[in-house]
Amino acid sequence: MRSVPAKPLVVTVVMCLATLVSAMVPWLKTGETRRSAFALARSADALGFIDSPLRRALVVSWYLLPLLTAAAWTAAALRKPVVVVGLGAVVGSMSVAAGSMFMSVARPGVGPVAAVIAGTAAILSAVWLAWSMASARAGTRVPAEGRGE
Amino acid sequence: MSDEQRSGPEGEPTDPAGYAPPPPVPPDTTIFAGGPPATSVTRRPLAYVAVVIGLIAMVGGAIFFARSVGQASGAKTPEAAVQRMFDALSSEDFLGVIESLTPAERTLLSGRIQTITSELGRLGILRKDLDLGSVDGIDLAFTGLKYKSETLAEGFTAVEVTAGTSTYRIDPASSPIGDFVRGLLPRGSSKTISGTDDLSNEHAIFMAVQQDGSWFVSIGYSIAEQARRDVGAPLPTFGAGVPARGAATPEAAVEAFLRGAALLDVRRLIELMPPGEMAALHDYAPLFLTELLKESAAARKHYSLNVPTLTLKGRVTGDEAVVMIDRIAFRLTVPDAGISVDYDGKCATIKGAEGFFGLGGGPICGDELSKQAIPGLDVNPDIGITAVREGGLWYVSPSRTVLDSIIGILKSLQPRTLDELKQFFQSFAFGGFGGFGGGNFELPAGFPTAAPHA
Repeated sequence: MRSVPAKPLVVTVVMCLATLVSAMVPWLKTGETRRSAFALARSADALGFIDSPLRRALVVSWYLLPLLTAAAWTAAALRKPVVVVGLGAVVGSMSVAAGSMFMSVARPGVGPVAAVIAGTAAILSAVWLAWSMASARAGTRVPAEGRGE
Repeated sequence: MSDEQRSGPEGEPTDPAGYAPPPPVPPDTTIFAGGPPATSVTRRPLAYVAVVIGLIAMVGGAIFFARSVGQASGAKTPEAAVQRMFDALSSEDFLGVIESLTPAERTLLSGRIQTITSELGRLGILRKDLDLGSVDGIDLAFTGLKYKSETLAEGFTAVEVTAGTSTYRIDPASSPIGDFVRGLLPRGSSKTISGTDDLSNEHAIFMAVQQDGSWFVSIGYSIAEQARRDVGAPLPTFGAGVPARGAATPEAAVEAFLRGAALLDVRRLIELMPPGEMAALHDYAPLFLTELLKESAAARKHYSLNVPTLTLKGRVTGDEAVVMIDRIAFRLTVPDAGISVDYDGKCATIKGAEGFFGLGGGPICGDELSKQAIPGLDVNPDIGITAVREGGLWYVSPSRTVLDSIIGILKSLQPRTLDELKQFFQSFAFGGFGGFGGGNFELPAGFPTAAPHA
């Protein structure tokens, strides 16, 4: 049986939630209109900027962010830390990529900066969780390894 | 192996197989995962609640994903499409205005307007740091809008603004006008302009077009429909206008277009225009084509154009291509005016136009030609004819060509060039006018400040 400290698990899920929240705050202000990351993705699509299969895949995967975050939450509640590690890393990477990509081409609002920070935190907490799991596993195997000598 | 090694943590004995039992862990800091359900920790009701919340959120996330991927970008009704455009205008939301247009018109405008704005900023015509997402100094508001819709055909609705007011306020001091233009403005032009207009008297028509189940405003159809109403022409049959006939390559499309233009073959020119972007022209063309064909046939009698050499070179990027004339030779004669132009690919010989800009003094070759094109300006813009691919065939896009040419010209200009142009206009002013409307032009040193006496 593998044990996992609760802290990194909870932090990873919280960071995934923070990433989702960062996608919902304004990413771009045009006139008096503020667009979230999802509204911006729709606008980019409508304006014809999504003109290659790669860009299409990126936009489609971006719409998966709420589902992936909810999946991370559910996995944590079901005590599946490996899944949480994977989802945390994916959600964090998506957020960092989207935020930094947008910041490189336009004058960003609060959203992209928050997305990069939250995404980085999600990746780091996923790494922390993975490391904690590995440590816990190693800790339980110390005597077993000793037996083999 | 010693006994000490066989012992578990804190001296606990190992099981008969030699494995240590799991270390005791506080339940509030450690959870268990993997393998069969944990037996050492009892799941609390809170955990079940968390699972249920998570599952509900996952369902929500899946619905959000499905709706977002399949979401149409247009409005649900023609009136909503027009209202959406006015809302975006009122919010000074440039992106929103573009989004309310048909997909073909959006693609045409979106990137190009940004590029033009950026180039105008570089030249000082607009402010350098101008952000189209936040244009200061211009406030617009449309309120109380009411519409009257008329379905012209399935998927085509004319929406007339029957009531409403527009309020505007322009503050030149904080407007996006750049330093160069500010220098040309007359003194006192920094006064704020504001006002209110009653839109019920304007009879403004906006055509809403349905595509993939959603409604969009079409600039092209709106212009065409307004023009049709102005001249009182009958309604065209939508979708049964001049059919589009593209070419297999961008070069072939442009060559056909140039030959069509040389022969004033209006029908062929329309056929070669993109059916999506220029849909309105294709649909409304039958209203004026017969008359235009007659006039072009009459005009053809007054000139002759022979193009023995025409080589084109295209640069394709995605579904767009810029086609440049690599080599051309032609002979144009206008017998009625006694003018002829011979161009052999290097030099142009113009006869019968001696009175115009010093032309007709012999062959004009190479760089001299570009200098003659824009007097006083030595610019060589990288411009061509823009072709676009729709439905696998290539068409010539006049609107993209015009916008791309503007971009090409702007990119070739330097702020210094504009100063030269300014001085060129000053040469007509002789210092007495002080520029347009009494501005603050500075004349070059040694420039005469009074008209010479006869």
